[in-house]
Amino acid sequence: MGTAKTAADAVWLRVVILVTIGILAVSSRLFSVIRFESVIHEFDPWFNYRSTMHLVNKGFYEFLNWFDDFSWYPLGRVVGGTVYPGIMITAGAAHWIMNKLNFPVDIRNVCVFLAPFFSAFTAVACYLLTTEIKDASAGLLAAAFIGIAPGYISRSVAGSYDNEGIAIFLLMITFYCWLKAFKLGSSLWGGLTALFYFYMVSAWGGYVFIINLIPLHVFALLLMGRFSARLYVSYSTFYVIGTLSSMEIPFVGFQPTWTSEHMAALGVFGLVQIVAFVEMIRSHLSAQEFKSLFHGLIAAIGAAGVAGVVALVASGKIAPFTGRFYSLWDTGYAKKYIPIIASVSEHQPTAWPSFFFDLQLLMPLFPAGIYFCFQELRDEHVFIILYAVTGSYFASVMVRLILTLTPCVCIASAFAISKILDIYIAPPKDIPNDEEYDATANTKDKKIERSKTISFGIHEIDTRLSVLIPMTLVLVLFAWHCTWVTSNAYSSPSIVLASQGRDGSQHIIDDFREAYYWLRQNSAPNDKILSWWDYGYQITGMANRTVLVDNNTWNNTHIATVGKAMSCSEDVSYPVMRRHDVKFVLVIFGAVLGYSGDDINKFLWMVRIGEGVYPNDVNERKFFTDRGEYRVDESATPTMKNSIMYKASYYRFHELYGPNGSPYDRVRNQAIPKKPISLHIMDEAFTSENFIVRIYQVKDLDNLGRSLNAAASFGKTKRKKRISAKPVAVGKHRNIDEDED
Amino acid sequence: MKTVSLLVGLLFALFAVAVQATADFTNENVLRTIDLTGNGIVRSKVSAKIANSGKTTASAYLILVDADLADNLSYIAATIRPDSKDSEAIPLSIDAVSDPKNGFVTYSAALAYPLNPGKSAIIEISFVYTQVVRPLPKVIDQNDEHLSSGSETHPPVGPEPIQKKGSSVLYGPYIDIPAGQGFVASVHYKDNKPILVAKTLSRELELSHWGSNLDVTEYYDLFHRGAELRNKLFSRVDFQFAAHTRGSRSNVVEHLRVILPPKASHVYYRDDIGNVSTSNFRKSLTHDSIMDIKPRYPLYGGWKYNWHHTYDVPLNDYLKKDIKTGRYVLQVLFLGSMKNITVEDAKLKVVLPEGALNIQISTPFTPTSQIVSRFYTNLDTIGRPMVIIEKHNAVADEYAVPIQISYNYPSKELYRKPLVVSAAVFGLLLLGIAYARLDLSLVRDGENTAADIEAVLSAQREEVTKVVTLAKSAFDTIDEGFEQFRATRGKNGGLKAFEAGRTEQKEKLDRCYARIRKAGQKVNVVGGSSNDESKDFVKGVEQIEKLVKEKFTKLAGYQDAVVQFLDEISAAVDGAVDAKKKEVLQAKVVAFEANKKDIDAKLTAIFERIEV
Repeated sequence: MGTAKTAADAVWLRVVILVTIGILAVSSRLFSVIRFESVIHEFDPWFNYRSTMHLVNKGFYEFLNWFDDFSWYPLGRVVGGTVYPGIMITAGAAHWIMNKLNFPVDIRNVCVFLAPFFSAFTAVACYLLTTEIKDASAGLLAAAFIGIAPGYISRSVAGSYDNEGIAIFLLMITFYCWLKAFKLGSSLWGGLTALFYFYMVSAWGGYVFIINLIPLHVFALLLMGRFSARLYVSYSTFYVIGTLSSMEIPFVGFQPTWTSEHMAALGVFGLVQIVAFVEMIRSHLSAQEFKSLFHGLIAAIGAAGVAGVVALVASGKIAPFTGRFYSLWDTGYAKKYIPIIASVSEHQPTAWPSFFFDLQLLMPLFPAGIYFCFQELRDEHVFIILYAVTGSYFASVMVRLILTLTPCVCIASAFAISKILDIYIAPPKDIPNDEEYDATANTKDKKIERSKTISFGIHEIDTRLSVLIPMTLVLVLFAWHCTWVTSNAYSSPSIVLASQGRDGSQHIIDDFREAYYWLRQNSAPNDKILSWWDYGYQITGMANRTVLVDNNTWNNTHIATVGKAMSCSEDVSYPVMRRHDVKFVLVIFGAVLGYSGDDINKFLWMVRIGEGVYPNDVNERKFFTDRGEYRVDESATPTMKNSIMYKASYYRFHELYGPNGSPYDRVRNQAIPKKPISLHIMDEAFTSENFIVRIYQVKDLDNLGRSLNAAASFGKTKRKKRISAKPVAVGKHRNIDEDED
Repeated sequence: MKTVSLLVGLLFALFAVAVQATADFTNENVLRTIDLTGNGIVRSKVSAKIANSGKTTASAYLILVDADLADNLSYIAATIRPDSKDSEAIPLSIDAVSDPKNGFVTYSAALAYPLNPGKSAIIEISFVYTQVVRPLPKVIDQNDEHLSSGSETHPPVGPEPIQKKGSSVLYGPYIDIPAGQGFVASVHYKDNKPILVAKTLSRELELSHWGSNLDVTEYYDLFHRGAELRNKLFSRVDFQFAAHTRGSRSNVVEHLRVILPPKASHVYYRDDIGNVSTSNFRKSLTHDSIMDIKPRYPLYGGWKYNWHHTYDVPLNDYLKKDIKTGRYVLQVLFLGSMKNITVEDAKLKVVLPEGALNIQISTPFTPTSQIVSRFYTNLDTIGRPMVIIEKHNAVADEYAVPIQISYNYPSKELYRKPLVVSAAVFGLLLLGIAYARLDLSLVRDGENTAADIEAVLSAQREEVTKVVTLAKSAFDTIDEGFEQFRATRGKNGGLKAFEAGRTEQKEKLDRCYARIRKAGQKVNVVGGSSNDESKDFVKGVEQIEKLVKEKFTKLAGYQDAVVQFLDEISAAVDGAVDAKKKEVLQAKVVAFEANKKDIDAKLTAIFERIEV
C-alpha cells in the first residue's frame, strides 16, 4: 500500500513539474507581446494569418477551394492546393472550440499565442520521448531544456505564427509514438505514429525528415541484425497508413509515389517485407537449403528492386530532386543555380557561433549524451544517434534547420546530465541492510554478488557537492543565457522597430504599418502593387491589396520580372508595369533612419534573379563600378542611377537636407548626389514618417504628356529607349520632361 | 498655381413657416441664426414670436423643412415660452407629420400649452444639418488652404447680403413673406477646419455587476470630406518642411482629441492591423479624461481612417438601483467622445448582464431602429441581453444625450457564473476520475501473466538463495565461535565473546527471516493462490523460516548445555568430571546432531523443491 501511494505522489509531482515547465515555456516566449503588442510580428506568417482568417470567416471547404487572387497577379494562387494547412486548421479549430465554449477569443490572439502554447506541448512530447530513452528524470530535464532552448524559441515566440511553431511538437510526438510502436510491436502505436505523421504532413514540409529518418532507423536495425516481428509490425503499419493519409493533403498529393524524397521509405518498406519473408522461409527450411535459396533468389529480388528505382529515376518516372533538396547536399549549389533560394538569409549555411548562441551549454553536452547512447545502444538509442547525425548535418547546412536539431540536442543533453545527477544526487536505495550483509559475507565466503540497486552512488557528501554545485551553476547560467537570447535576439518584431531615446524612453517606429494602412484605406480595392517579394505577404495581409509576387517563391520567372522592373530604367520598366496593371510601386528605403534591411541592400538579389531570366535587359556587372564596388553615391554607375529602385529610393532625398546640406545615406555611409532625380513614369503617392516605405503611383498612359493617343506614348517610349542607351542623354532628356510639366 | 481651399456652406430656404390647419399663426418677428463654425456641420436656430391670428385655440405648430434638405436634417428641437421677460422655456415634442409635400417636409411641434386666439408666444427651433457644406475647389495642393461654401439650387437667387461684419453676414430684414417662400443663399468662405464624417460609429458597452465595471469600445470609421489632395499624391518632404508653417492653414488632421469620461482606465487605441503607439492619455478623476490620438498617417481630405479605442469606467457612476421597484437603471450617453463629427450611421450596443429581465429603454430622440438581441461571451450559459440602438445621420454633439435602460436583475443571477464554473470543473474532475478507473485493456491489470509470475519468482528465488547462503554463513560463524570457546575453555572472558558473537549472528538471522518473508509476500502478491508454483514457493519459504528458527533454537540449546557442563567442570574443586552428567550431555549431543542433520536434510529438500 505504501509503495502505491508514493508512486502516485511521484506521478503528481511529475505532472506538476511538467505543468510548471509548460508555463515557463509559454511565458518566456511572451517578451514581444509584453513589450510591443499582440500582433503577428514577422513577414512570412502574415499569409498564414490571412488564410486562417479566411478559414474562420468562410469555413473549411471554402478554405480548401480558395483561389487567392490577391497574390501572384495575374496568376493568382490556389491556396488549398499549395499550402500546408495544418497550422491554419489548428488555429481555426482552437478558435472554434473556444467560441463554442463561449470563450470568444479573437482569432488574432489565437494565432499569436498558438506557437507558445504548442511549445508547452513540445516539452511534454520531449518528456515522453526521453522517458523512453532513459527515465522520467531525464525526461523532465529534456522538457525543461526544450522549453527554454533558444534554438526552438527563435521559431516559436508569440507573434511568430509559422508552420514550425506546431511542427516541432508533431515531430517529437511522432518520434515518441514510433519508439513506443517498435518497442511494443504494437500496431495501435504504429497507427498513432501514422496519425501524427499525417498531422505533421499537413503542417510542415519538414515531414520529409520523418519519412526518411524512420526508414533509416529501420534500415540501421536491419543491418545490425536486430530485425524482429515487432519492427515489422510497427513499420509496416506506420508506412502504409502514414503514406496513404499523407496523400490526402492536396499539396502533397501523389508525391509519395513518385518523388525521390519518399523513395527511401518505400525501399525500406520493400526490404522489410523481403526480410520478413526470408525469416519465415528460414524457419521452415534447413540451413543448407536456405543458404542456396538466399543467395539465388533473394539477392536477385533485392538487386532488381534497386535497379528498378535507378531506372525509374533515370527515365524521369521518379522525379529528380528539387533545387532546395540539392542545396542541402551542396551548399554552393543554390548560389550558382537558384538565386531565389540563396537570397533568403535563413537558407544560408550555419556559422559555428550560432550553434553556441542557440544551444550554449547543450552543445558540449550533446556529444556526451550521444556517447551514453552508444554505451547502451538499445534500439531506441540507435534512433537518437541517427537523429543526431542527420540533424547535425542539416543544421550545419542551413541556419533554419538548427530548429530540427534542437530537440535531439535537448534529449541527448538531458540524457548526459541525468546520468551525472543519478550518480551524484540519487540516494542509494535499500543500501544499509545489503551492505552490512555483504560486508560480513564477503569477509567470510567468496564474493557474493552485490545487489543491482547499489551498483552506483557516491556517499561522501563533499564529493557529491563538488560536482553538483558546478553542475547547478552551469545549468543556472544556461537558463540565464536562454532568457537573455530570447529577450534580445528573438523577441524584436520585424514589423515595428524600436529605438531608444536619450532618456531611455522607447520610441516605436511604425512605418511599415503606417504605409500599409494607408494603402488599405486609401487605395482602390483592385489596385495592384509592385514590390519585392519579401513584403508580399505583409502587403496582402495588412494592406489588403493585390501584389505581383510574395514570399511563396514558387514562380522564379515572375519574381525575375519584378526584379527586372526594379532594376531597369524607367522606359524599360514602364511596359512591364503596364502589362501587369501595376498601380503602385512600393520600395523600402532605410537611408534616412539607418535601417539596413532595405531594398537597396537587397537590390543585387533582384538584379541577379532578374538577370537569370532576362539576361538581355539586366546585367549584374553594370551595377558595379569599374573598381567592382557597389555604390550609390556620385560614382554609382549610370545603370544603377537609372534603375527604378535607385530613383524610387532617393527621389527628393537630397531636399531633406536643405539647399546647403549634404545628403548622406546612413545605411551605406555614402554621400548621395545633390542632383535632383526625375521620375516620369510615376509620381510619389505616399512616404511614411521616417521614409522607410515609399509608395509611387504609376502614371496612366494619357498622363505621359504629349498626347492622349496611346500610340504616341508608345512612340515616345521607343525614342527614349534609344536615347537612354547613352548615359549622357539622360540629363538632356530630363529637361524635356520638365518642360512638359 | 496657388489654390485656396474654400468651404461652401448652404444657407437654406430661409423660413420655417408655420401653417396650421385649424388656426393660423403669424410669425411676427423672426430671427434666424446660422452657425457654420462646426467643421461642416450647420447649426441653425430660428427664434420667432408667434401669434395666433386664427379663431380657434392652437395646440400645435407646424414646421416646414425644405424637402431637398430633409435628408440632411440630423436634429430638430423646439422650445416655447410666453411672450414675457424671464419666463422659462419649455421643450416641445416634435413629430414628423408626413412625406414631402409641395417641396416641404412637415414637422409638428405639440405646444406645451394651448395658445388662444390673439395670444402670442416665443418659439425657438434648433436645426442641425449635415453634409451641406462642400469644399470648393474640391481639389487642392498639399499645403494649400482650405475653403468651403454653402450651396446652390433653389431659385430665385437671393439678394445680396445687407451687411458683412467680421465673420458674420447679415441678411434682411424682409417683410411680409408668405408661408413656404424663401430663397437660397450661398456663402463661400475660408475655413481650415477638417470636415470629419464618421461613416459608421459604433459604441459597444458591456457591463459587469461582478466586476462593477463598464467596458466601452468605440469603433470609428472616419472620412475626411474636405478638399482632396491633387491626384491623391502626398509628399512627405513637403509635409515635413511645412510642419512649422502649416499651423492652421491646412485642413490636414494630424491629431484627434478623444474625450473620455472621468476615471477612464485601461485605455487601448487600435486599428485593424494592431496597436497604434502614438497616443497620449491624460487621466482625470473629476474631469473628462483626454486621449490625444495620432492617426497612423496624416489625414488629408478624401482620405479615410478607421480605428477603435477601449476603456473601462466604474459601473457605479452609471448604474443606479431604484430602491422602490428594485430595478436597475443604466444611464449612458448615446454618442460622445469626439466633437463636431457627423455620423452617418451611429450605433449603440449595450450588453446587459446575463439574466437581466424586463428591459425597458428610453431615448430622448426617435432612433432609426431599436432591438434587443442576445450575446454570448465568457462563461455564458443563457447569453446576455444586448440592446442595439441605431440612428442614421447623427451629429456627435447634439446626440451626446443620455439613454436610460432599466432592467430587473435577480440577485441569484450573481451566483450563476461561479456555479457554472464550479459545475464545469467538477464535471471535468468526474471525467478524470472515470477515466482513471476505466480499464480498456484486454488483459486485466490484476491478473498477472505467467511470464510476470515467472519473472518475480526467479527474482525471489535468487533472493532466497542469497538469504539461505547468508544464514548458512551465520551458522558457520556461530559454530566457529563455539569451537573457539571450547578450545580456550572459556578463559579470558571467552564466554562473553562467544555469547556476544552469537547474539550478533542471531540478529543477522532475524533480518534473514524478514527478507525471506518479504520474498514470500512478493510472490504471493503476484502469483496469489492461482499459480501452483508460486503457492509452492510461498509454502516452502514459510517452512524454511520455521526450520532455520528451529535449527537456531536447537543449536543454542545444545551450546548452552555444553557451556553449562564446562562451567560445572571448572567449578568443581578437583576438576573432576561427573560421569553421569557427561553421559546426559553426550546423549544431548547425539540428539542434537541427529536433529541438525534432519533439519538440514529438510531444508535442502525444500530448497531444491522451490528452486526448480
